[in-house]
Amino acid sequence: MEPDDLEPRVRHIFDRKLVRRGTGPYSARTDAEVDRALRRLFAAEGLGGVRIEGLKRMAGGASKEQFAFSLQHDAAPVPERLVLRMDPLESIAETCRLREAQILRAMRGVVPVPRVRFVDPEGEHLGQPGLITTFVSGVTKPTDVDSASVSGVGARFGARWAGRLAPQFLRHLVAIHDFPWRRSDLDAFAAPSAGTRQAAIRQVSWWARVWRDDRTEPVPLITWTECWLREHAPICDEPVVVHGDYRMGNFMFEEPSGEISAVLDWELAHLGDFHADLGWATQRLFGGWDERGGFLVGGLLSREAFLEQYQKLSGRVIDPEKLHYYEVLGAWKCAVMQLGPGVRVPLEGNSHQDLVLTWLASAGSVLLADIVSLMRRK
Amino acid sequence: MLPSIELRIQNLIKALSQVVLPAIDPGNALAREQAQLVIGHLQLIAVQWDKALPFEAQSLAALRELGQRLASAAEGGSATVQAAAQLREALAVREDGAALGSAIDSLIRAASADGAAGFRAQLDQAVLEHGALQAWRERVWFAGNGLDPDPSALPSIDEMLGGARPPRPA
Repeated sequence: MEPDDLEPRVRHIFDRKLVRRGTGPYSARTDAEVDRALRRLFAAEGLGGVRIEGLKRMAGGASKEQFAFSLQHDAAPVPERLVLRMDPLESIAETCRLREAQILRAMRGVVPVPRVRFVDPEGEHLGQPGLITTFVSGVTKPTDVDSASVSGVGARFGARWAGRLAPQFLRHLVAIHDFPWRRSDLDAFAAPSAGTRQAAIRQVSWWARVWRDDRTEPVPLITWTECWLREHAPICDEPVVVHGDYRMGNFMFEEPSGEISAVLDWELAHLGDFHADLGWATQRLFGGWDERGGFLVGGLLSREAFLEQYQKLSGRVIDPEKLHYYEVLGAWKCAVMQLGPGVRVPLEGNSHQDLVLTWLASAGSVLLADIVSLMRRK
Repeated sequence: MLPSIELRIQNLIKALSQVVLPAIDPGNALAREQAQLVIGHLQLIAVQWDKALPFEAQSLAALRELGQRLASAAEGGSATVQAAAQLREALAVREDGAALGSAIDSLIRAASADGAAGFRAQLDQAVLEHGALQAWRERVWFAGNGLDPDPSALPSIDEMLGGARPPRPA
């Protein structure tokens, strides 16, 4: 029997997914359904005189349904613009709204993040698990640069924007990794033991479980890579907060200042090795290219500059072996996501974004090619 | 003459692009994105549908070749020996790609547990070679999605099905 060292809350989310799978198919929620769901939640929270206005589905969100609205109630007479992030029946990334709320609260004041206002971890009131935060203004890609993309994948920044954004992109990543998480309320997270291989093994077990539950056909390279990742799991000296999806498309910035207004999409956050965020951010799928065809991490700066500046800012020393391991892990996780739930969820009809998921899944082979390249580079 | 599949896909794309998409409320981002994705999927299907059978046949042939390489080289402890025997049984059934893939998976896991060192080296090589070829073939198959970071390096689907092979790694 293969090792299955999962965090308890992560295991709960996966078990819950399998129970709910058969209750589909899922339809995108209408504005009226969301309005009713919000009123149920606010009643349960004891809010009186509730007024919900300007309810509007937000663009993007391949993983979660997202709605913006204004809330006014007896204790808050001035309307506040808020965002609801709600799970569809199944998602390409099946994650936990309670963990997301906890990490957002912990990160307040560390990096720019929205404030958490309400959380319904099991969907008791909303019908589906959901999280409500403050609305943050900004864009995820410059409006003056042609960068058509799906879910931020393949978007590109021009040199002018890169010059403004790259230093912040690095500074915020370092701040996340420097955060003293032991003093925070993160009880939905289970920290791996320092000085052991548990940080890496838990990530492999997480995504191996996803593959086992969601694969629609075997892919030898995915199975082989899982075995390789288990055999070569490195020791994590000191667990840090890992954002888990630190890349272009997952931060917002103001125009024209270029000031990053929010680091978003914390659903894959966990406690683990800092190399994990580096190996993820440097994925080819999340990058861009300069005019000479050179690869840019996050579409912003070269791989060498990214790693060098990270070391300089953080004082951490990047271990090339560990970085390589986490690059392989990152590519494998993306491949599992795109070829596992990316196919299974639309097959079940259980997402609001079946079309987007199959579109993204069609790029799964890019990740498989990346795994091969990374293994041959070793 | 009956309207062909190509013609009907072409009609669908035209109707969606010229009539349906412009009629969608610009403020309805989800509906606009979905319409654009429907058009994108149809454009992909238009170049794939009549080549799907040879594409699938070549994928199965590549998987069988991998299975044969592994089954003939397998060496190790009881888990590896047993998984190799099951793989040989799966190879005897010519058209069941899912069963064959599962048998290959089982042998990969078994070799990880008790495969002989020499076999494991051969397995690593064989799986990576199969993975590289299949990933390249699938990238060609879906090059029209615009998500590939290096589409200019890929041949056409017809060239790939005609026997073109990926460039050897440097």
